[in-house]
Amino acid sequence: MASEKKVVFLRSSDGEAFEVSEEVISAASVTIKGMIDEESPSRADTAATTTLAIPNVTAATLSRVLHYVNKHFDAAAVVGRPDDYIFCAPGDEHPLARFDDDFVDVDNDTLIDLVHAAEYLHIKKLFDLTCKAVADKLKGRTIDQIRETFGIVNDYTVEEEVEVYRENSWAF
Amino acid sequence: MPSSSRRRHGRGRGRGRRSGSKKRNWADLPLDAISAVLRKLDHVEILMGAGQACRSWRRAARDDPSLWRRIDMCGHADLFNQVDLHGMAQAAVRRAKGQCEAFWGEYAGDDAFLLFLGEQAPSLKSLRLISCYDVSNEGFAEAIKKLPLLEELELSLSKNVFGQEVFETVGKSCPHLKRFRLSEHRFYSFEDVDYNKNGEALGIATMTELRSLQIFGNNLTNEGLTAILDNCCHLESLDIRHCFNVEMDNTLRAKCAGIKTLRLPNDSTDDYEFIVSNPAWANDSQTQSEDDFDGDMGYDDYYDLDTELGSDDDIYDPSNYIDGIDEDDEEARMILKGLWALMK
Repeated sequence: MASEKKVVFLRSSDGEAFEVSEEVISAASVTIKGMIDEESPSRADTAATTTLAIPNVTAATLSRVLHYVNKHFDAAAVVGRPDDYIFCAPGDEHPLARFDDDFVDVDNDTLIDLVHAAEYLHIKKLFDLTCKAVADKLKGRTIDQIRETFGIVNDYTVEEEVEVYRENSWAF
Repeated sequence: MPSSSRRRHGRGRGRGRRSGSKKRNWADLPLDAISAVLRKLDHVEILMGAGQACRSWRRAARDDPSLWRRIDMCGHADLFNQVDLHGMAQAAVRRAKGQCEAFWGEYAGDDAFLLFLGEQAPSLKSLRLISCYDVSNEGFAEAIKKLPLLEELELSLSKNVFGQEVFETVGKSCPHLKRFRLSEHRFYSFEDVDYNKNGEALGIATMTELRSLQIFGNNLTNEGLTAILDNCCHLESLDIRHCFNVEMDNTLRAKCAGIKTLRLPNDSTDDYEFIVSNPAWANDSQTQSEDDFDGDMGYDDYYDLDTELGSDDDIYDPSNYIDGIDEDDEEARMILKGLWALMK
């Protein structure tokens, strides 16, 4: 008997709730799957939907994450949507490559929030994608450029500074 | 229908509505994430940039030996005159804390480095040296004896490792060697009576467990190839493109029958990894080369950046690189000009 599609609500740290298919989010996020599994005995035969608190992720980030999740983990949606393929010649990379590129084409802060969220929610594909995007921003940059671009403060002590200098004697 | 699953409850698309305007600190990324980011950079990039930006990034880059298990320092030839790439290679291997399984270096690696590698990486399985002119026969032979688990070895464009003896040492020291690559830019015909065209081939013939062999532009003749085919019975892939002293006759073809991937001297070089120059023949009557070939100069000057210059020469003078290159070798000139632009 085909049961109704179950949904869950995710409540962001700033109190906004998002609806998502239980099947889809379980496939995507190890963390949320764990939460749902913990809840399930108590709601096995009730029609009530579950709301899960996601205290570490803001609405802005969560909405982006769910956009990604629905694109990548809703199997029927991925296969059934011809527009994802329209620009893909045979032999092209993954049909969602273009989506992925656009998805991480964001400012540094948004990207960092996405890395944090992917790490916390344990969504491996998203974690890999966002870490790759961070790495791409670091490529070909000197230490000073990296510090400046990403607002990283040189927090070495004098001793560490000396140590770093010694470690990098090849550079001088 | 799956489409029903993606409706948002609360409104607000989130865009332009950045909650928490506090600047994110990249240094506060979880260690997992920093490690994942570092894994997507190459090792030279880590050592020269991200791995030094701050404490947390440095710790992630320095204290995780698994990050350094397979060291790839290829693709940074442009740094050769800016930093000590050999020293950088040592720093990379040191971080592997004895777990290094692969080292790939381009312009990165000299005798001292290889000896260090031999001591620090006893479980090395893959060693690729490309354009490592500071590696000599003596240094290489000494180091290779300490790498008995090697399965893959490349010595391309590293022309100071050559001759029968050193390859016999490899054959003896590395009984598990499955892949070997010894490739040049160009076939250069040595006609000197004292020169044993098959010396290297006879050395390679002692690597009896080889599955894959590429020798591009080598002087071996049918005799040398026969020795290899008779001794390396497990070969599945053989690439002898631009080995123009080999003439594929029926005997050789029969010996090659069991080889799945075979590339012969005259096969296309379109997919060759390095620049291919026209072959150079010592004997004028055989000249196929359009190049203005002049004795012992000419065929390797443009990638021999280091030995070409005394320490007091102006390394930033492009004429130091461009002089001595064959007039016709337009590609080499272009590369040098590119290098020159980078160094500026």
